[in-house]
Amino acid sequence: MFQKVLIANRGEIALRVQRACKALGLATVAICSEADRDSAPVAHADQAICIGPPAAARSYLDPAAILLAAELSGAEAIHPGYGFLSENADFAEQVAAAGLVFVGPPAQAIRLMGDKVSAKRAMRAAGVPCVPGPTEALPDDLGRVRRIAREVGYPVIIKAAGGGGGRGMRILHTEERLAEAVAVTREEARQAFGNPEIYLEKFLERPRHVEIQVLCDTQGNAIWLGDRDCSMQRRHQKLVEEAPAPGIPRELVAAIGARCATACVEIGYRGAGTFEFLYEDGVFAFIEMNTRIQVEHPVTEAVTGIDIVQEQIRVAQGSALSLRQSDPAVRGHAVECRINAENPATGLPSPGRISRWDLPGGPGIRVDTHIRAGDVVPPHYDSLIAKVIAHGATRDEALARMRVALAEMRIEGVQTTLPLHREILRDAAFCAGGVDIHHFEAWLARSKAA
Amino acid sequence: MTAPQEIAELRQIVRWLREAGLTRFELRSAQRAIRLVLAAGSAPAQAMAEEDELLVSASMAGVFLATHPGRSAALVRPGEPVTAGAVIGLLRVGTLLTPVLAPRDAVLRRVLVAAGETVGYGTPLFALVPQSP
Repeated sequence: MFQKVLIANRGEIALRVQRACKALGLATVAICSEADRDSAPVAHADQAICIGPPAAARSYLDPAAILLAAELSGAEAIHPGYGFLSENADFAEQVAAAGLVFVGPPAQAIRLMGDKVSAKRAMRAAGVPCVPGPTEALPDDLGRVRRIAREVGYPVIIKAAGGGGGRGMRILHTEERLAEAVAVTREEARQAFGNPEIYLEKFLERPRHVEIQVLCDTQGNAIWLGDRDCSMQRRHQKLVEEAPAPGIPRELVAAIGARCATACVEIGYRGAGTFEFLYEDGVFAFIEMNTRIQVEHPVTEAVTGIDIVQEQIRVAQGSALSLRQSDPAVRGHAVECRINAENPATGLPSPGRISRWDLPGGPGIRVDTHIRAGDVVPPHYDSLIAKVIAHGATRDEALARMRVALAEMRIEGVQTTLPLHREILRDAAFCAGGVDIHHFEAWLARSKAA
Repeated sequence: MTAPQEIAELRQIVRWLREAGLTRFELRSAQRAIRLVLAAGSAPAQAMAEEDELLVSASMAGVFLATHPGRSAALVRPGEPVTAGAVIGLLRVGTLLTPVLAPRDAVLRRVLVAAGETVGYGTPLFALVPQSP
């Protein structure tokens, strides 16, 4: 059973994982690029090693540099966090080949779910409902593609099998530009993901983004920990998340959750994971699985009282899940705002030195951040600087607590999404609950025009 | 006010501050006021270059060695000349030894870290004085 964990990440998640390790009595090794030498995760770790220059390709995305740091530090396990190498099956394989434990699923499960076509096939086989469309990559013959699109029915969406996170896709409302869309998407897929395979499915016009959190051990136990609604997105980036998803019949969510847990056992999954669905007109449709811890995991922790990262590490150590499906009772409601260092109007990054950093507090408020006053937000990485999580007995109470927290929070030196979050927490449709994935961008366009 | 000589003096003061574990320094005279504040909790002092020096830094994390494990003599000693491409140190990770090379013809002036110390990427290892060809 490993005792020393190298955390192959930066920012708030590096600190989050470090806290979970320390609570479990495990030693921690931080790695960093030259841009993060003075960061909080480096200061708080038992040991820290600078592994490369600021460019992520030569530091946080460099498997060799990370494995050498593990050897140098005597770490026995590597936690990848989210982003960077967390969903890289080759890296998971290299970690295992080096005799270390990868805190995440086995490489073959990452590979299976990383290819959207094979993932969809596996989910259909496991009885998880998917978006209508074939579970095969599109053939080269355009006549056959045309027939497939007609069978599915317009509008359709063409996606890269190796894509994800909203990249490499095209929507078609009629057959007119099908040939062009197929050719361009295939070429983009080949260039961006190194895999020219594309597939086609029904395009849902006004869906919500609802996801299921799962946890599995290596003894064949899998449980689901409730649902999250992450429909508030800008350019496919989530800005506000909540648990549970408002207004969806609980028995419907429970049926989907149970299927996700079963699917985990069938694909040989291990650790924490998330099944992402589109939800429209009372129907769930699987889109992809994130085979790692997610940014928004704290809202589930708030309503279940479970430390998901600790559980993830414990099952990586070979322990059986300490929970049964009957245990996690969802209590109240939680909402999370992702505060990014970016121009609130344009979404462009706003790196720089933080001159003022006042954090909120009070009942039901949690802030996950790596930032301290005087810290520099480097331009090289993701712009997330803090997650504010509000928990209440009801959704209204959680939202009220979030409004107070956002009003208290003061950040100076860089531009942030705080003003945007303050406004969206007063939007009538969001407050009523259950908006679709286009609501945020539409709201933004309206507020710009006004 | 920033003549090269004064920058060198400031550098010297920063070195003394780090050695003494101080984080603030203020000097006021009739002509000028100087305030130096070292970042709190910053990593152990990294060596700084003198005017005429060229620093050679670690290209990867590893345990610094000044002597090959199979030999008894140091690869190079302070005061000795080195040629471009010569192996002047080693970085060890497990059983892997990676050479640290002299970037150009020079004389080794100082070895900046102790043998056996674990260094990160970018840690200055040697101060060389380049020799004009």
